[in-house]
Amino acid sequence: MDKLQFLGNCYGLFLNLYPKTYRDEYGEELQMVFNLTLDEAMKMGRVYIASVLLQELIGLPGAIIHEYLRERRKRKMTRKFASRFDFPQGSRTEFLAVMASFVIPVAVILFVRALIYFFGVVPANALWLNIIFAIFFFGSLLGMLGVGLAAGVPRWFLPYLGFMLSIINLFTHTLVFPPSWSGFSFLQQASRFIRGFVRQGTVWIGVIVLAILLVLIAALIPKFRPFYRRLKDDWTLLAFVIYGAVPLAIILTFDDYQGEQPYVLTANLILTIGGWFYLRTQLPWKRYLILFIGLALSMAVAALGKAIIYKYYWEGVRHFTWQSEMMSTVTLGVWMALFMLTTLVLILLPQAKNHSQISDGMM
Amino acid sequence: MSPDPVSYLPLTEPTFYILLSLAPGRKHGYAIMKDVRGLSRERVNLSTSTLYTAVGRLLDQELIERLDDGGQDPGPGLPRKSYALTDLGRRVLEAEMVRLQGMVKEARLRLREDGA
Repeated sequence: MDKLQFLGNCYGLFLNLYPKTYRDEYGEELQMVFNLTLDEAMKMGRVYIASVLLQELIGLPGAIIHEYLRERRKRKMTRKFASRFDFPQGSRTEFLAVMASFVIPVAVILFVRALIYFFGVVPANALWLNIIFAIFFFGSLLGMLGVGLAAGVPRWFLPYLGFMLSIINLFTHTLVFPPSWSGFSFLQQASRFIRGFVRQGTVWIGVIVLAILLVLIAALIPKFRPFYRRLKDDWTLLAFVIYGAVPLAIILTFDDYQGEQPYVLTANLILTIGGWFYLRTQLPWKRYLILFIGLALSMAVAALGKAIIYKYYWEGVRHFTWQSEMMSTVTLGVWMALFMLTTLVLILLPQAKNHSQISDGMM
Repeated sequence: MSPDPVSYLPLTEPTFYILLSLAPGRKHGYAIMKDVRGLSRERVNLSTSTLYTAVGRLLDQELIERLDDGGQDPGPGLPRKSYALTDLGRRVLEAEMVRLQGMVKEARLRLREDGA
């Protein structure tokens, strides 16, 4: 064994002192660079060899400690409580978490509505129940927000994020457009379809605006940049966020309706199945397509449900026709699809060039 | 859509030289090490471990990026990964250059005043 090989092997042994993840990522490179440095020093004489070895011996302990501390920092950020919620991708637990995001909010809202219906129109006791459930509902949403952020915004959390965006959107919409607002004046002469289309868009456009805002925040705040990087690397993630806004849109499309529960639940079941396929599919374009199929089918069920309810209960009683009611849900679906298409703009952003980042920091 | 380069300043001497070394184009770890030594006129002599500690920090800060050699053989004994400046890294380097120029200018003026 020659001297170079011997010293190289010794250095290789020292490398075992680094944390395993670091060693796996950089070990080979460190070894190669050390060998090259030593090779050059050998051509220059013993003093240079001694100088290189001394330098390495001085630098190595500090570097090893530094890497351990870095690993620990990373673990501290993501492990503990939060790591329990960072489910493996494509696993059953990840799917169950996604399923809950579609089923629980819908179940709670439907339960509240059923209670109000059961107790009659706004009696005092139903109002109290309403308040209790509102606290429970928003409390659990905020709780999920905390867990999702602490766990590093995992995939299962994205539909919850979408659901929250849809709620924030509705609040802001009510602030911007008061209930007395009767549509844009320049559309007074337009057809009912156009007016309905634009009106539907103004109600939900906040979802995509908020989603874009989310991307901007992730890009600008260093702590959230790993999330931004993930959004750029997998452009279907933002579409999955928008997909999470669909359940509330479906619930609200049945505003004033009664007996809508089977349709809302079926539509959400379809969304859940879509979510399941999304989580288990590898190719981005296939995942993207699955989201569109889930959206289209759930909206079709909602539209059909509205038509059936309207035709059998309200035909001739109300001003609109069952066709126009159905069309409003179709329009809603088209807007949601357009919002999901908008997320494609992420592809245009500069991509990280195949760099195998070791640290994903918080996210 | 990226952080303010000024928030990364001042750079340490090794960091400055590593970024400067990558300014013309991508380099392997060993080439960076040699270049830093040359640029600093032998004053900054990085060991392999200190170089990679600095490189890890710069990757975390997104000032540099790690690139694959895309299946091409970089040569016998040479690492298959190389490093390149990101846009943010280049802007940080430029900001540091402006900061250093300002310092030198002020120092020149003050020394001239003292000398006069």
